[in-house]
Amino acid sequence: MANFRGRGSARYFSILPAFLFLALLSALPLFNLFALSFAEVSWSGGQSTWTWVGLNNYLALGSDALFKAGILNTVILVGVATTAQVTIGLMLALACSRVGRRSRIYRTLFLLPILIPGIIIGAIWRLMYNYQFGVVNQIIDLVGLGPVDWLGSSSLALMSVIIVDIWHWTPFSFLLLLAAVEALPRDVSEAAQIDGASKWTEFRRISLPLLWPAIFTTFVFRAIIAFKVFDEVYLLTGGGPGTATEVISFTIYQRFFTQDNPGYGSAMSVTVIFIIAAVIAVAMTRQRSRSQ
Amino acid sequence: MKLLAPIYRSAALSAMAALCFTTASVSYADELAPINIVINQSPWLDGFAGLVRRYETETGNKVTLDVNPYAGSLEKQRNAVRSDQSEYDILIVNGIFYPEMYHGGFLEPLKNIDPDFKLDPQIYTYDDTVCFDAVNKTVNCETGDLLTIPVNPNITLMFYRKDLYEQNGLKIPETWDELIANAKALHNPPEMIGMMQRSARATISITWDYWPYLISHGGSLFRDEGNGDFFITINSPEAREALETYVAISKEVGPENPASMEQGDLIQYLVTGRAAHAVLPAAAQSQMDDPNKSIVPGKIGYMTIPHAPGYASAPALGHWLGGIPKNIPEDHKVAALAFLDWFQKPETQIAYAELGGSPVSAAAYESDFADKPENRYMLTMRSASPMARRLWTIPEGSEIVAVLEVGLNRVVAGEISVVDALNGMAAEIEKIMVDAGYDVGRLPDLAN
Amino acid sequence: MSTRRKQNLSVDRALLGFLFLAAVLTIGPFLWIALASFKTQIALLMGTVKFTPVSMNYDEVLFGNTSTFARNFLNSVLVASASTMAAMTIGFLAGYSLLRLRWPAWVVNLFLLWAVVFNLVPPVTLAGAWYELFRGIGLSNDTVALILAHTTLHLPMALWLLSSFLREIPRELEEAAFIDGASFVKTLWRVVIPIMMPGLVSTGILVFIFSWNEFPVALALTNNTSATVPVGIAKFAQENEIKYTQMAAASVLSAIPALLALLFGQRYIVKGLTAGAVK
Repeated sequence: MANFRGRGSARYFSILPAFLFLALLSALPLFNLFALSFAEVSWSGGQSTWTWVGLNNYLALGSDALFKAGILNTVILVGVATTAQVTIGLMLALACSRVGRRSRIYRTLFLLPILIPGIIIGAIWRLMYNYQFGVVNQIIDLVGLGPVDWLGSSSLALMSVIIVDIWHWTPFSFLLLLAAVEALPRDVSEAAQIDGASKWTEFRRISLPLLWPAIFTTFVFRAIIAFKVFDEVYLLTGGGPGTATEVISFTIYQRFFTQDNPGYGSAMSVTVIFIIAAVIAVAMTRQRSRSQ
Repeated sequence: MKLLAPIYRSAALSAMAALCFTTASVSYADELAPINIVINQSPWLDGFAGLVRRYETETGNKVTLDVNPYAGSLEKQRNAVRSDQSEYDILIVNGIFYPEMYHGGFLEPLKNIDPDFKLDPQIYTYDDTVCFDAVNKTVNCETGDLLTIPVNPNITLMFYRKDLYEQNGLKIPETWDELIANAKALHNPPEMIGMMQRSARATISITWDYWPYLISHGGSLFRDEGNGDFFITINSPEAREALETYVAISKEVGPENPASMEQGDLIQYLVTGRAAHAVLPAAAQSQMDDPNKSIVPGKIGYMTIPHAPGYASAPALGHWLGGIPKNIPEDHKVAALAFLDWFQKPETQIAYAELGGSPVSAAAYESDFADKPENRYMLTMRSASPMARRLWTIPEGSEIVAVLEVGLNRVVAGEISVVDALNGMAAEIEKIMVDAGYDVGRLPDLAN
Repeated sequence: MSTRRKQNLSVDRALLGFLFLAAVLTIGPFLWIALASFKTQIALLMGTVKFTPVSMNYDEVLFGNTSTFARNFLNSVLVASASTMAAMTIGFLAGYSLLRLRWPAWVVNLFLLWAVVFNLVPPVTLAGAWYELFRGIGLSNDTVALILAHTTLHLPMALWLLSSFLREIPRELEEAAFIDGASFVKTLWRVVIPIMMPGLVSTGILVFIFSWNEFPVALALTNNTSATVPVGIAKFAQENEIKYTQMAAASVLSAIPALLALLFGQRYIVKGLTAGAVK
C-alpha cells in the first residue's frame, strides 16, 4: 500500500518511451531551431557558414510588415474560428447525445471534413469561391444576391478563409466534446429533471461546469492547431490579396524556406512559440484557479 | 542543421561503408552507374518519362525518376545537396530557384566531369542561364562555366483567340498600344474579357507577368547584373511607364477583379471562351486543344509578347534546368552527364517533342513536327525562345520577389499609386541588398 | 408526465432538424467534390450543373502512366496505423505515469509544457532537421522514418488529450484494484482503459486523421515509392495546371475507406464513446 502511488519501476518504464521520443526526435530539432535564430547561414562552395548575429534576427521582426500582418490575421482567425468551432461542436455534440441512437449517421457525417487533406481543401474551395463560375456565387444568385468576390476583396478574404476553417475543423471539436458529453453521468441530469429544473438551468448549472475542463482543453488544442494553419491558405489565397490573408506560419514558411533565410525564420518561429506558450500558461493558471 | 551534423556523420559513414561492400561486387566495366533524377509532376512529365524509357532501352543504363509535387521540388533538392551525399544524380532545377543552386556551389561544372563536353549548338541557352561565373558570381556564358542543360522551355507567350482575330480582321500586335487597341475591340464584359494577366500575390505571380513589360519598356531591376552591377533601378521612369501600361490594361480591358487573378484563373477564362488574350507560360498550351479541358479547341493562337516601340519583346523565363550535384560519387557524375549528353542531341530533342515533351533545342522547333497545325505554338516558340529574358540571378531574388509581389499587387488592387509602389519597393530592395552585403544604392525617388 | 414526454418529443424533433441542417452544410462541399470527380475539367470550370458523368479522372488517378496512388494509399495505411498505435500507447502510458504515479510537480509541468511547445513548432521547420537525422542513421526514404516522425509529431496531442480525459476519472477505482492485488498492467487494462474508452477512441481517431493528412514532413522524408496520399494528391497541383477533377477523384478515393471504417465501426465507436457513461 505504501508504494501504490509510486508503483516502483512501473513509474519509470511507463514514461521512458515518451521521454525517449521527445528527447531524441523533438529536442534536437528544437534546439537546432533555437540556435539558428541567433545565426545567419550562408552557403558557398557547397559548405555552410554560420555567422552569429546575436539578437539581430529578433530585432528585425519589429520592422517586418508581413510579420505584423501575419500575427494580426492569425489572431483574428484563431479567435473567431476556434470560438465558432467549439460552440458549434458543443451544440452538435449535445444534440447528438440527446437524440441518442437516431443520431448515429450524423456522428459519422460530421467527421467528413477532417478526412480531407488541407491542400485539397484549399484548391477546391478556391474553385467554389470563384467569382464567375463558383458554386457559392451560383447559390447566392438563386436567392437574388449579386456575385461576391470572396477571395479577391481585401475586406472579405480573411472571412472567407475563416469560413473554410470552420467547415474543415468543427469535426475536431465535435469529436472531443462528444466524448466528454457522453461521459457525463446520467443520474445527475435525471435528478435535475425530477427536481423540475428547466433544460437551460440544468445545462448551465450542472452539465456546463462538468464539461468545462473538456471545453477548455478542446479550445486550447484547437487554437494551437489553428495557429499553425498553412495548407488551406497555401492554395486558397497564398496570403493575398495584398496581405489580407497572410497567416503567421505562411510568413514563417516564406522567410524560412522560400527565401532561404532559416536564421530569421527561426527567430520568427521562436517568438511565436514564446508568445503562445505564455498565453497558454496564463490561461491554464486561470483555468486551474477557476476549477478549484 | 550543421550543429547536428557531427552526431549523424559517424552513423552515416558506417552505413556508407556497408553500402560500398554491396555495390562493389555488382559494377560492370562497360555499364554506367544507375542514376536517380528528381523531377516535379507536370504536363510534360509523360514526355520526359517516355524519353527516359527510350534511353534505358537504347543504352542499357538504369534511370529512376523521383517524381515530386511542384510545391515541394525546391525543398527536396535543397535537402539533397546540403546533405553529405545527395540521393539525386540529376536535379531538375526551376528557372526561379537556380540562383540558389549556382551561388551555393552545389552543382558540378559539366566540364569538370568531362573536359570535352560541349553544349549542342542548337540548344537554347535561355539568356545564358545555363552558365555561372563562380569568381564574379554572375550568370553569363562568356566568363562562366556550363553548369546545366535546359530541360524545359517554359517561357511566357501571348495566348489569343485566333478565330476572333480572323472574324474582326485584326492584325497581330507588335507593340503594347496595338495590343490594347485589339483588346478593346474584343472587350465585352462579362462575356468576353479583352486581356487577362496575373495580378495576384503568390510566391511568384504578378512579378512574372510584369517582367516582360518592365524589360520591353527599357526598364530593369538592376543596372547591369550580368556584369555584377546591382544598383537598383526598379524606380526608373521606364519602370513607371511599364507599370502604368500594366495597370491601364488591367483597368481598361481586364476583368472586374484583376487583383485576385492567378494563373489558374487566366486559363479558366481562356478555356471557357471568356478571354480574348492571356499571358501564359507555353506549357499551358497542352490544355487548349483538349475538348475535355477547353470549349475553344483549335481556336487559340500564340504570339510573342508585345513591346514598347524601339525595344525588343522580352518573354519571361520560367524554365527548368538539369544539373549534376557535387556531392555524389564520380561514377554517378559520369553516368548523369552521359544522360544529359544524350538528351541534348538534336534527334533526341525531336523525339522528345513527338512524345509530348517540351524540347529545348532549335532542332525540334525547326523540324517538320513543329509545322503541324496542332503544334502551332512551336512556331511562336521558335521566334520567342531566343528573346526570352531571365528574371534575377542572385539568391536574394527570392526575398526581392516577395517585395515585388506585394507592391505590384497593391497597385493593381488600387491600394497605392504606381509611384509610391515603385519608390517603396526600391527602398525595400535596397535594404535587402545592403543587408546581404552588397554595396549598392538606388535611383532617386520618382516624383508624382 | 405525458406533457413532459410530448415536450421531449418536440425537442427531439427540433434537435433532429438542427442536426439535419448541420449535416447538409457539412456534406455540401464534400458532395460537390464528389460530383467534381465525375466531371471533365471543362465542365467543372464552366460550373455546369447538368453533366454527363465520366470515369476518366478515376482512370487517370488509379491507372495513369505516372500514377502512384495505390502505393501511396498502402503507405498511408501503414504509416497512419503504426504511428497512431505508437503515439496512443506511449502517450497513454506517459499521461498515466505523470498524473498518477507521484512525479514531482516540476517533472509533470516540464513534460506537459515541452509537449505544448513542441506542438507549437510549425512542422515545416522540423522537416529539414529530421531529413538529416534519418539520413544519418540510414533510414532515408524509409517508411519507418516517417512512422517515427509522425509518432513524435502527434505524441504531444495524444499525451495532452489523454491526460485531460484521465483527470476526470476518480482514482479510487484503481486504488481498489491495486489493493485487490492486481498488477500495474492489469489495473490499466481492466480498470483504467475501459473507463477511458470514449477519450481513447476520439483521440485515436484524431491522431489517425492527423497522420493521414500530414503533408510537409511526409514530403521531406519520402520518395516516389514511400510517399503517402497527401504527397500523391499534391502532385495534381502542378506548376501550370491544377488538375481539379483528378484531385477530387483522389480525395474521394482516400476518404471512402475512412468513411466506411467509420460507418461500420460506428457500433464500436458509439460503444467506445458511451462506455464512460456507465460509471
